[in-house]
Amino acid sequence: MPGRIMIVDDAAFMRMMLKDILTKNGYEVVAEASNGKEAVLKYEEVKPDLVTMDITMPEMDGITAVKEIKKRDPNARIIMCSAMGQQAMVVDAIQAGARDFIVKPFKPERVIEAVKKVLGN
Amino acid sequence: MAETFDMERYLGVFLEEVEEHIERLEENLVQLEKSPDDESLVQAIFRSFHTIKGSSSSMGFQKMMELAHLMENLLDGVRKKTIAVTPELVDTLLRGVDLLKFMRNGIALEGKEPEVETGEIVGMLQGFLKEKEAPKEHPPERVSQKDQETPQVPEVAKEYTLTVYLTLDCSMKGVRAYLVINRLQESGIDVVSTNPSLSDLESERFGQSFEVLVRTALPPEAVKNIVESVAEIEKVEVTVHEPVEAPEEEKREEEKVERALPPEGKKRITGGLKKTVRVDVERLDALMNLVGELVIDRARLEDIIQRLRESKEVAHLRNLLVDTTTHIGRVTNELQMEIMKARMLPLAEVFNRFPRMVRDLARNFGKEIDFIIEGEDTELDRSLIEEITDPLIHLLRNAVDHGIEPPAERVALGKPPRGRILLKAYQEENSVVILVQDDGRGIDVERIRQKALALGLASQEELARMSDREAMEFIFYSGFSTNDKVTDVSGRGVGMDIVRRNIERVNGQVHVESERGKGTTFFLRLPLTLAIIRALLVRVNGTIYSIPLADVVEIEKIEKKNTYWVNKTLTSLFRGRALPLLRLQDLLEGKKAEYEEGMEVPEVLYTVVVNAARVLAGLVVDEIVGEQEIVIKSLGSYIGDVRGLGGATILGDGRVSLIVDVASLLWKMVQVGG
Repeated sequence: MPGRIMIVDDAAFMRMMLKDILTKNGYEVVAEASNGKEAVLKYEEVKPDLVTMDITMPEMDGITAVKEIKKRDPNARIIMCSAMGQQAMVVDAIQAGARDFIVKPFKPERVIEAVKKVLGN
Repeated sequence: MAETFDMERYLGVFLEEVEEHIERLEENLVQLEKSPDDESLVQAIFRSFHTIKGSSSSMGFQKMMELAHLMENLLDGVRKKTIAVTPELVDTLLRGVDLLKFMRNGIALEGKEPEVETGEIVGMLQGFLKEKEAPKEHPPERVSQKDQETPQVPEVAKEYTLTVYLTLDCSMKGVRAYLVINRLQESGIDVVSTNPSLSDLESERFGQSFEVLVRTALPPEAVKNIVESVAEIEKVEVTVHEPVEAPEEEKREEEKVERALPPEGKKRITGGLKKTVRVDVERLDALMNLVGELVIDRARLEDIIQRLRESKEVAHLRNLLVDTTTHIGRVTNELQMEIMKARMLPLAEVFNRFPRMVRDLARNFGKEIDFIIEGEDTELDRSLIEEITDPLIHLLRNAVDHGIEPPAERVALGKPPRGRILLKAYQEENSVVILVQDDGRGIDVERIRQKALALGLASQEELARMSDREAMEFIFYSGFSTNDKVTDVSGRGVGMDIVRRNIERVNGQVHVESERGKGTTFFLRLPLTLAIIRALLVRVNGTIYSIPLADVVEIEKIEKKNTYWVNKTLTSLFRGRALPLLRLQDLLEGKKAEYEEGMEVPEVLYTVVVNAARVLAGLVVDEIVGEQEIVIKSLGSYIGDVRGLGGATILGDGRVSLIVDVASLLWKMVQVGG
C-alpha cells in the first residue's frame, strides 16, 4: 500500500537518494527535514504515514526526535536510518518506539521491504 | 559484487564461530572423560556440534555438516544414556573434532572445503552409533524431561520454538534479533529463552539464524506473522511443543534464570542488553599509540614547568600550568589504564587448549596425570598471550614426558600412581606470574653440575661456589639442554634455552625450583603490558639512553679505590659477588667494553647494576639522569633488529632516546667473552 512519507536526514544527498528509491516504488514523499527539531515541527504539520529518521543530526538527534514525535503521536511509524557501528543507538531508538531500521549504505530493496512491512502493519 | 562482499563478511563470522566451538569442544570433551555424568557438559558439547552442523550447512559445506551431524547424534546417544562415555569414544570424538578443525582451516585458506578423506573417522563414529540402537534424528535440541518448574503455566498457553533466519545480507544482526524479541514482547508474547543466549545474540555471536522459545496462547501462524513484520527476515520456522512436553533441557539453565525473575520479561530482557562492540586489535593499538603521544606531551609539559621555575615573573602562569599538567597527568593515567584493560585477555584463551594436549600426551607416554588449571581468569596483554603459548607448551610437554614418572615407578617410590601437573597464573604487583608445577622426578642438580663442567660452562671452583639453585639455572643455557642425553640427566627435555629466550624477549623472566624426587616448578614472570615501561635515563657521551627498570638491580656510585683488577679487567664487589664493570658506550658500539689494566679509570664510576640473561654486570655511564615512564616505539623496519637496542622513545624535551636491550647486550658479551 502506498503511503505518505517524510524523510529526515541532515545530508541532502541521502535525502535525495531515499526520495528516489521511495518515489520510484510509488510512495509519496510529503516532507523533508534536515534535523530533529524540524522533523518534529513538520510531523505535526503534515502527519505523514511514515518517517525515515537519520540518527546523527545537528540541532536535535534522531533518537530525541523519535521520542518527541512519539509523545505527540504514539502511533507514529518511524524507521531509523543507521550507519554501521551505531548498534547501541539503534537499540535506543527501538526502545523509544522506532518500528524498524535500515543500515547505510542503503540497498533499495531493503528500504522498500522495511517500509512495506512497517506500513503493512 | 555486493553479494560476494556480504558472503565474505559472513564467511568470517562463520569461521570465527566454528573456531570458538572447536576450542570449546576440545575443552569440554576432555572434561567429559573425567565427569561423564555431567549433563550440562553433555548439553554444551551437543550444542556445539549442533551449531557447527547448522552453520556449515547454511554455508554449503557438506562434508563438515555431515561430520558435525554424526557427532551430534552420538552426543544425543550419550545424553539419552544409550551410548557410554569411554576413553575410546572421547578419543574418536576428538579425532572428529580435529577433522572439523582441518576442514575449517582449509575453508579459511581456500574458501572451500579441503579435499579430505573422512571415511575412516566417519566409520569409527558410526561404529559407536551402531553399538546401541542408532538414535533417530531428533528435532534440534529437544529432549523430554520431567519438569517440575512449570506447573504455573496456564494450560491454554503453548510453547513454540521459533527459528528465525535472517537474510544473508542482513546488517546489525544483533539489533535485528533484539528487534524481533522486542516485537514479540510488545505483542504480549512471553519470551522464555533464546538460543544462543541473549548476550550472545546482542553481541552478534550467532550465524544467520537464532531460536526463540516463547509461551503464548496465540496460534502459531499469528506468532509467525509478528516476527515476519520485521524487515530482513528470510523465514521463520515454528515448532509447536505439546503442552505436556517440557521445555528443552539444554535451555534449562537459561530458563531458570529467566523464571527466577518476575514476569516482566520485557523489562528484564531490555535491561540485560549489554551494549558491546567488537573492536579491531589494530584500532586498540592505534589508541595505545595516541595515549603514548599524550604521555610524551605530559613529560614535555613537566619539562617546561621545570624551566619556568627559574624565572619569577611568570609564577602565576606557572601555577596554572602545574594545575593543568597535573590534570592531564591524571587523565592520561586513567586513559592508559582503560586502554590497557581493553587490550587484556584472560589467560583462559591459551590455558583452555592445554587439557586436551596434556591428556593426549599422557596417553601417548603411558602416564596418568591430573592436570589442574588455576587462575585462568588472570588477564594479560593480548600480544603477550601469543608470545607465551609456545614456551608453555614446551614446559607442559616436558612435565608430562620427563617430569612425571610412569605409574608403576611412582607406586614403587611410594607416590600415588597419578601424577599431578599444576598450571597456575596470578597477578603480583605489575606482573603476572605463571607457574608450571609437577610432582615428578625433580632435577638432579649434581648431574647438572657435571654436565656444566663437561661442557665448559663453568670451572670446578665456580661450580663449587654456586648454590644448587644457581646451578640449576644451567638448564636454560643453549647447548646445554639441546643435548638429547640431558633428558636422563635432568629429567628435562630439550629447548629450555628457547623458553628462556622467548620469555625474555617480552621483558619477562623465567626461573626454576626443583627438589629431587618431589617435583619441579617453573616460574614465568611477565609484565602486564609491553607498550609502556618505566626506564632509567642515563647519559653517555652526550646522548641519553633508556634502560628498562626491570633489568636494573641498583644504581651505584663506585669509587676507584673500591675496584680491583681481576684477570686484568676492572671489577667491583656487589653484594658479595664479582661485578665486572663495562663501559656502556663501547658495549653499544660492539667494542671491547672492559677496563683493562693500564687504562685510565675515572675516580668515580657511575654504575647501573643490571641483571639479565643470567649475567650480573655494572654498566658505567657518564650521568644518571632520572627515572621516567617511556613509550616504546619500534625502530622501524628499515633499521630492523639492532643488537643491544630494543627500540626508541621520545623524551619530554622532544629528543629521541634509544632503549637499551640489556639482555641482548650482555648476551653478546657472554658470547664474545666465552
